[in-house]
Amino acid sequence: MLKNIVEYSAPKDLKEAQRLLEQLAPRAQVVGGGLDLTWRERRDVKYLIGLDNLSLNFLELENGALKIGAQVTVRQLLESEIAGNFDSGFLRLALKRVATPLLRGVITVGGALAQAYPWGDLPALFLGLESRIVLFDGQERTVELGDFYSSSFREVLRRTIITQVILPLKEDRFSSYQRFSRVSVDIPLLNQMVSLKFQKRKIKKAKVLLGSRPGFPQELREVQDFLERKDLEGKAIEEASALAQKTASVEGDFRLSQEFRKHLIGIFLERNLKEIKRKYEDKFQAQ
Amino acid sequence: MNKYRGVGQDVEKIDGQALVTGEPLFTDDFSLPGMLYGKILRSPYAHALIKEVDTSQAEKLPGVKAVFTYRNVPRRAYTTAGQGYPEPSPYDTFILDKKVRYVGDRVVTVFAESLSIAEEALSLIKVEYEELPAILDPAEALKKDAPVIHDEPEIQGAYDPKRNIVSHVELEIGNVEEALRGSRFAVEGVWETQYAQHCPMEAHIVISYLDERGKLVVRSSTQVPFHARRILSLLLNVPISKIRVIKPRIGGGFGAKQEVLIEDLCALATLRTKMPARLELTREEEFVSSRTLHPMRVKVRLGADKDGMLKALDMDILSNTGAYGTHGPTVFFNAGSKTLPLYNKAENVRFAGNVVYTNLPVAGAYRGYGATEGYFALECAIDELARKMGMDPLVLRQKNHIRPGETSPIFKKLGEGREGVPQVVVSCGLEECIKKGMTAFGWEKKRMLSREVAPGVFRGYGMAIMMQGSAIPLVDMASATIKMSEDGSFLLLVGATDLGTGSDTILAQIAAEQLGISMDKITVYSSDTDFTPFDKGAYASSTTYLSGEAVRKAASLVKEQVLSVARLLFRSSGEMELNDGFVLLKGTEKRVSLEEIGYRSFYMADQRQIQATASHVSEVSPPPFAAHFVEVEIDTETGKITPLKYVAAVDCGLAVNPGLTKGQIIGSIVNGLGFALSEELRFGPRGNPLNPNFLDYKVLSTLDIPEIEVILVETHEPSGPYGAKSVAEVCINGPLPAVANAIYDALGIQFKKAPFTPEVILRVLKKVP
Amino acid sequence: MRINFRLNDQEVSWEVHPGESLFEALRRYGHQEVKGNNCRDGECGACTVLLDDVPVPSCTILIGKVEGKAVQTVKALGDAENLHPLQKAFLELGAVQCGYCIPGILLVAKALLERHPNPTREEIKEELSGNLCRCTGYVQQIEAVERAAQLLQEGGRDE
Repeated sequence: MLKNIVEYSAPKDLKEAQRLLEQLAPRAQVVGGGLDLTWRERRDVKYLIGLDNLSLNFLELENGALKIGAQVTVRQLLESEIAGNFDSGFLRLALKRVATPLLRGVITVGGALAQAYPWGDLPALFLGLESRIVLFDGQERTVELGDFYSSSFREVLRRTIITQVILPLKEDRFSSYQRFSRVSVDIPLLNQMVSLKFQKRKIKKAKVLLGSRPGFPQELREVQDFLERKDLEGKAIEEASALAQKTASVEGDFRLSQEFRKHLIGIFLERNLKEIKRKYEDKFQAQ
Repeated sequence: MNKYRGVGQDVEKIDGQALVTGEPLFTDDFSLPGMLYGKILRSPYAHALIKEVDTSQAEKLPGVKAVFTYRNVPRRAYTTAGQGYPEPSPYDTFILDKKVRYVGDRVVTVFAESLSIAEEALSLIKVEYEELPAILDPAEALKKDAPVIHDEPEIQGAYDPKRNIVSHVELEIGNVEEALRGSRFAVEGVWETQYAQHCPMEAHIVISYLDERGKLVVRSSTQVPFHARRILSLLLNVPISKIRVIKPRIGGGFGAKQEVLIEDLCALATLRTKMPARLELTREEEFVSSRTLHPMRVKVRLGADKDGMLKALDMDILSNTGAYGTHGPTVFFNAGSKTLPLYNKAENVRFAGNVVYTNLPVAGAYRGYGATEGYFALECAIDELARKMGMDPLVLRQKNHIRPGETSPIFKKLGEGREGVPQVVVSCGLEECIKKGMTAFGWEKKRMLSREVAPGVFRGYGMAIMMQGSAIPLVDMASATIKMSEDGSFLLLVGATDLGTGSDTILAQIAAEQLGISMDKITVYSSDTDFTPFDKGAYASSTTYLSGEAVRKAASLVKEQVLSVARLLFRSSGEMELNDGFVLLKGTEKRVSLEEIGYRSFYMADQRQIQATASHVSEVSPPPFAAHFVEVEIDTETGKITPLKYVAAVDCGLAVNPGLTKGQIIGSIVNGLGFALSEELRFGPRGNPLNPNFLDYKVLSTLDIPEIEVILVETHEPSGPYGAKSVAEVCINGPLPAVANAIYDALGIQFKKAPFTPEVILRVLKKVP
Repeated sequence: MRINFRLNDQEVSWEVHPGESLFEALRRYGHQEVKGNNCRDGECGACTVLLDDVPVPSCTILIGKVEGKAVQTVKALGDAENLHPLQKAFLELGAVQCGYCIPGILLVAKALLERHPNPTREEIKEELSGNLCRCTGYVQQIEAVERAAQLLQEGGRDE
């Protein structure tokens, strides 16, 4: 039991919720799934602001983007048909490995992105998919997830509520995700998200994120730059992997050594790129 | 072909229905008004003296009813080990001591009106420690100037506590050195196992209270209710006649609950406050402050002649028993006594080693009881020997394993912490286990396949054979009482402890078989020290074999009483049979119901209570045998090992309940696979546990298990009830060596340290520095 | 604070501490059919309940989140007079040993079969992978879910 909690309110109005949060900061916390509070036994929090009455569990396709309400759980996203078709089923495959089947029913998309645990799956995935995040701090604004994370986002979240995550759909984008874990159901000890947009056979834009390093996802810019305007033929994959190995930065912790993480970087990139190549060829074979 | 009506059938568990509907059967599903909640303050240091402890603020907190420190609890050296008296474990533990010996050791205990208040009280306690140098590796314990972990004057039963040695053994049959020198082929190696925890889904929990007579009642999730009663009596200075221990349903034990772990504190709270009290371990405490597997370094040397007959077998062990010596000596002995006899062809055998204290969590009883660690080394060494000889490892085993009618001098030389008991193996289906297992697995065909199945992906095939025992001969005793009610139904009272194993069910099956009745005519009560007769408890694979025989005996005595009434009613001494609630006079149409006999016996003529109590002690401990085969796939880029197929052929005599037997086998295999692939409790430089939770201590899930096939090979063990032996432990010994052997087969790398993680695979393959 | 919700098809109104978990409240209100150690990380699954038909570890659910929702424990599945095919199948196939993990697993299986009446073995394994069992090694439990799916297809509760 979180003994220090004195109040759990569940406002029906977004403005009211944000106002409460701001007023009671820093001893207030919004409750997405609530896992961060129960699991970490947050003793610094006194006031809980539930988000379940704010109608934030919508999931819609609109204007070429998937709009995910912040209260949508990983399970809901995984089981929805819309998400199932996203990027030819890529999102579903990736989400299937997050946490455990039970925790997927608790973890919310907003909550996962807000907490951004060093070993999380979602930050790397959503950064790779060029997500935008909708924030409310009295006023609504939409920012690129990457920019949000580059700011002092934890500070911002003391008074701001994430209401929505937007995943733009791109016809010409292919993604692949690799993660290393100790057993099948486990946090990732290293993960890598690769998303490539093609024009004809050449890569127009590349997103390569390395997460759970064990820290916050790193964008492998040199690799991204290298991949742009190339195709995936010849030695491109091999060279990209070697470059990734050279430029990525990983640490060791009691879960996995630095050397092992380093070793996996190149292998992941090779596997991701080969998978994307296969998907691309499958799609264009059919045409 | 089953010739029995009840025994040998897949009878549904008698407590099954209550379990699937969530009935309140477990210790915690019961509370009393005014119940106090206990919390334990744990040591942050691996080795320290308590210089000052100030509990004054905690005591003042409203709702706090008792605070225990070393100053206000009885001081008496004892062992927490749930073993028969006199226990072969050192008396080196105190309820609370002035010294702490591992991170997680007890310091202070608080009982309060709610868990919240108890937790708050802990935070108000001030302790001043004087840190002492700590021993975090068993090899360090033996060094000349090593700190002494147990310097208390009261210690008894440890071999040489000043050198941190709990047990030391050196025994030899024949001349091993000479035999090794004369061997055409010899191998030598050291295998190492890790700290692992049982992870019962229900943590240790106890509730105690004073009944209306003022008797102390302890309701505990324990495997050893009778030992708990005796040990509590000793510790708290309360006569045994004033203590009652009850075991309700338990959520798993696997050996962790073969201890009197926390009953002492709870009982003390009840005695002092006169209030009911409850104490439960958190999951973290379950990992760190309960009991674990014994990490061992096992050195094995083998020598064989040119034909592959073993000549010499040498096992030398360094066992880490952690901060207290519970089960230390006996687990160590068992590592030899349950492994070495398997290869009885070796005439020169040596078993030696030391069990040492370290400032780390306390190792205790764990399913397999030392045999697991012993087999890892032995079965890997056998494979190594086979390779050296260019012989199929299966063939080498077939040449050397024990056969029915044979014996081994080890049976006599190595018992449970003392001399053992000689025995001849009567039932042994190992040969058939190997044949059936290899066929089902496809051993010969698979080994002809190419090992690289895709670029960088390799498959390997490994095997292991094993045995265990059934109860401890001449030491363990089980008993049963059966009494009849007038309607022809029976009450079966057994001390035997069902931990979820289904022992209540199979014991009822045995009684039902004898009495010719259906299962619904028997009600089982178990594990209540006031109402059920003695049973040593659930350990050493005893319940089917030993408690089962006590039940069979009691039932046969009751049967005789029933028949004596039937003779009067039939006015005949002809041959009779009990069937389906009736006594039948053979060769005639005459029959009389048990109900008629029941009513007559209670109320009408020659009135008496039809009832019998029987006990059983065994002179032998007939081993169950098994042969295991595993196929693994290894991705040499990521180091991931995936077990694909596992075949276990098992001889447990007659399987009283095949469905439950299979469940025991599969459960122990999956636990063993966990030892092989992922389970390890790890420590930081100060002896602090790094992963005492399920997030980082990885127990296998449904997605990690291979396809598992179980083949029951039936033999007949004449000393067991209806030919049964026990099966609870033996199969946990298979996965470590079988998987290690499979990895060698795939990659040519010999894993000598468990668990076999991707990191280690890649380091050995030199892909990672 | 007061919380109002549906528990096993009955409206309830409980007085709770705002920092309590659903597990704590359930046990406190006499629902001993929910097993668990209150570890709060949700990693073992023993304390699983259904929250609006979704299986979740009750030790991770803050009680405030339950307002107006429907909670089901294993009691919603069946009782001695009327066992659910899942309960029958688990008993029939020897899938119950100590039973501590069982209420949680039965609920996960219930939710699965309601969404996918004919799951593949892979799908069953996936769905059960968040529930640890130390006794059975899972094989018989997976088989029991398959059998229950069969029983449900054949015609429901009463055989």
